[in-house]
Amino acid sequence: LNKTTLLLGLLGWLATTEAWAQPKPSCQLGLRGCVHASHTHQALAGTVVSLWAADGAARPLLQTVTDSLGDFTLARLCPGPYRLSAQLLGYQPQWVSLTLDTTLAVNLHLSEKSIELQVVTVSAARPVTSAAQPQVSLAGAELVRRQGGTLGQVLQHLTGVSLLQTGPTIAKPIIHGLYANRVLVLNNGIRQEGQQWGNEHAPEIDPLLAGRLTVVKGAATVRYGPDALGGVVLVEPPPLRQLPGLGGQLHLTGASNGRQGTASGSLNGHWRGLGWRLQATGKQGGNVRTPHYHLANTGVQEFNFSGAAGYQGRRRGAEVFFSRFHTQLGILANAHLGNLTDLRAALASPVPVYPGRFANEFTYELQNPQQRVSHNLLKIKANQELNKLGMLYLQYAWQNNHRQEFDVRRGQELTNRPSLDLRLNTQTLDVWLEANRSTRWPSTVGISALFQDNHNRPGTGVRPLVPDYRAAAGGVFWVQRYVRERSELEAGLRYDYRYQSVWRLDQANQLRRPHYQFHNVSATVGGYWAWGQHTAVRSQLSSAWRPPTPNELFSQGLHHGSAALEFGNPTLRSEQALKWTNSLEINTKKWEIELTAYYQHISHYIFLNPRDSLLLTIRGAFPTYDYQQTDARFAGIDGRAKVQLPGGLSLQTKGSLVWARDLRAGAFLPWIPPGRVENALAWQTSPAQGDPPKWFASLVAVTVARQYRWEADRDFAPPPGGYTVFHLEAGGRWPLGKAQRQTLAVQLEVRNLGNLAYRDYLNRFRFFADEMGRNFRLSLHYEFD
Amino acid sequence: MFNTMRIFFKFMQPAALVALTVLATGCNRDDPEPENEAEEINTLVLTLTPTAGGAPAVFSFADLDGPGGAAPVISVAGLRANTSYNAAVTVAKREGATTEDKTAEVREEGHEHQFFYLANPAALVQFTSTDTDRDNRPIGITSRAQTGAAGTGTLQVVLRHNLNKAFAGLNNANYPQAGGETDIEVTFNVTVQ
Repeated sequence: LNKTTLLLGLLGWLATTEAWAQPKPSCQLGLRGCVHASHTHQALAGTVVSLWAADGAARPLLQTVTDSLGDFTLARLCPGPYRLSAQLLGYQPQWVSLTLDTTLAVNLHLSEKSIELQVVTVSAARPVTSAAQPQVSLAGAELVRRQGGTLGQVLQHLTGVSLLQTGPTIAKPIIHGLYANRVLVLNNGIRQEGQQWGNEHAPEIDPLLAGRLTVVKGAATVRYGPDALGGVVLVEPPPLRQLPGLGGQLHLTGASNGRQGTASGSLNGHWRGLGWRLQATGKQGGNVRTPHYHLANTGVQEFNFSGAAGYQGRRRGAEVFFSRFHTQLGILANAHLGNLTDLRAALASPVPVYPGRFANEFTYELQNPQQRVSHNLLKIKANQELNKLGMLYLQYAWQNNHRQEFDVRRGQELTNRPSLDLRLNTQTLDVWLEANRSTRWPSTVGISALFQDNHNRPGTGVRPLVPDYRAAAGGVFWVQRYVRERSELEAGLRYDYRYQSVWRLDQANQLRRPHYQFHNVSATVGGYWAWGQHTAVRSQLSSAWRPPTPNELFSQGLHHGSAALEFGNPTLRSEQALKWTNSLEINTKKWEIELTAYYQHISHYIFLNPRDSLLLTIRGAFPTYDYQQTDARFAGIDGRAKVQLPGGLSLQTKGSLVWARDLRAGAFLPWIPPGRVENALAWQTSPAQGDPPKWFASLVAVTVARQYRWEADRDFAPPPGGYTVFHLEAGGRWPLGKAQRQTLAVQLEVRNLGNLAYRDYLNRFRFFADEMGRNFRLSLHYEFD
Repeated sequence: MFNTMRIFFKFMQPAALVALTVLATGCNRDDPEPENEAEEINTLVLTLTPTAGGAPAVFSFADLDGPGGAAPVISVAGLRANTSYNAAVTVAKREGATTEDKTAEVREEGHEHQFFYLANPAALVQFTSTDTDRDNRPIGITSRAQTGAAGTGTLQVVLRHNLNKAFAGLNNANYPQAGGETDIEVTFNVTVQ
């Protein structure tokens, strides 16, 4: 089947069946937009949208009502200044002043709190997220300020997210104490099927393609499928352009530490009814420096690009998206261990001792051990409104992940040969129907299918870490909501099935062909309530599950990053979790408060259990770990409070605490985030309505406590002490050009202001080296529309 | 609700067909071939021949199935007190009846490799390397071994690679300070009589 032909045909068909009115000068301008509730992100149907003359006339010039999607359109408008109002019972009426000189799109957010209007391009349909689950997101100018790091580093700015790091180049997000395969990443609506075989495998996504990053902090298996035990990370590109014209962005970042440079650019436009966008990012960095020494072999090179095109009409739409991510990164030179003696030597040495071919100096050059990872994603999505029924969505995606790891080996020939060379191909198909969207009883039903093929390219000269396998999986779900103006109830049910067929060579090189089947039923129930003008409460009880991954089933051999032998367990069962999340949000003119508390019980929690005795090999005696299952309990709170002070000052504090316990052994679990508090004193000029501030500055103090809840026999060294590290950032923003259609933003940031030498418990290389020292980062962001 | 489901599944039929077509186009899978673990060393043999002549003492460590599985096979021999020996070490990969020698590979890359010999107590037997790499630094494939007074203890044989061979004062005792990574680390019980 020729997918390209099919797609072009589909787009062509859409292009011929709908007519496009090209805007003409004089009184032919249009104004389109969408109205959402700012708390729940729900589209608000039935909002009265009125256009008024700018001089304050008593009656509106035009009036319309938003449809079931919250969309409205006003046509045949003359250029000039206007005022726009949006009114809906139970919400504060919103006013915005605007000047029409071209057809414009506005996105309005109605809320119980103070007036907040933002003028941005019309948004396409966003993935439906539950109102009952606490979620935090980064978007707009706030996201732009954070971009430049890895996806994990950007996500760490969100309340309740920590990072599990492997040196400065690899970071995985931790949500409520869970990470890796227990956190689901959705890249543009598609389950990211990368290779998460170990903690040193980071998500393969360019954060610079995102227009919005959201973290859903709850078990979300029902809507998104297996693995979403701790939470979900949603990476959403900006919506495609719906109006004629050309827009674009250029983002440049330079960092002193590691002499890292990042350049990213994008262009978007509209051609014969099709919105399109092209985007590319390049990054290069060298060895980073701690306050006292360089970290040898910690450079990174990255090149990513993406393209999208689509049509979105009132009743139907289609979109095609392609992205490629490619990274090449070094692994800290002294973190590659031959045996326990090497580990003890590394632990005893206050300063890293680098092998002969590495030097304690700056270089962009990468040597082994290193990783080369690429990820391609092709997505095709279409939607069609069915009369009286709702919107039907169809989404197909193909993902290809190629991971090569190069090890320290004898001889040039073997050095150039990867010791791990894995290709993972995944195809997914999702079909879902959003029914009764404009009623009090909206529901979503859907099915999803997945087919996956994992293939070891032969010739590595190393027994594969993960065997060849094929998997087929399917799920069917139903989510029913009951929506009132100030509250919402939600319940959902899902059934999943996964079949996995494995080709594995055992220790005697005999071919084994085990087959696995996993079933699960998940359910969720929750609600959202708004109280008074300023308060909202969310509560949700949901179950989730995760089948064991191939590395948990079949690992056998030495893990060079930890000088330990790890053995998989082919009899593992699925993990099952029940999570209860509760959150409170208070928003007034002066205060912003969010507080989330959760309790999660995970049955058959899979972890590495140490054996009592060392295992003797020709490399020496090794600590040995087996993948085993226990019952685990996770409980915790995270919160944020911000208070506005006079003079544009504000004070914000964010914090999180996790208590995790292995219930069967009555022991603590490793790699659980210690207590963490982040305090920030910020200043900004008072913003014009809806616009980001012109000038801002903030001083941030991050305090991380020592992790006291650890077990000596489950770790190689005691956790490092607590620390407080300071960051400073300041920047400005200027509108440029005619009608201020261009924006230039400049920002200077100093990370680790005091050049503190410290180690972080959640960095797997804390045994070997300190964290990065002081880092100056200058970034420049230019946007035109 | 029933009606919704019925219409939903009606629309699902063509979608399912497309899905099956797309998903079924995967190629046939070949069975994986065992990797030739070319650099895997599973056998070390240390031979000490008295310089004055006589029967050699042979120490060997073999772990043919790699880490895990069957325990390694270790054999030791007795040494005579106050005696000088010519020591030679060989490393190999043994698989069934075939033995692939890896000692030459180590010698070729001698500038990146070195053997260390640590006796406990240290006076039991002392090793001095007699071979050199291209930078005129010791490798330790061949050495001179000198036993002390009678006694019992252990002898640890270590092969390191990627170490800093220019490290000042590098010797059998302080080798971890020179960095690098361990290829081999085996320990023999030794009786000197």
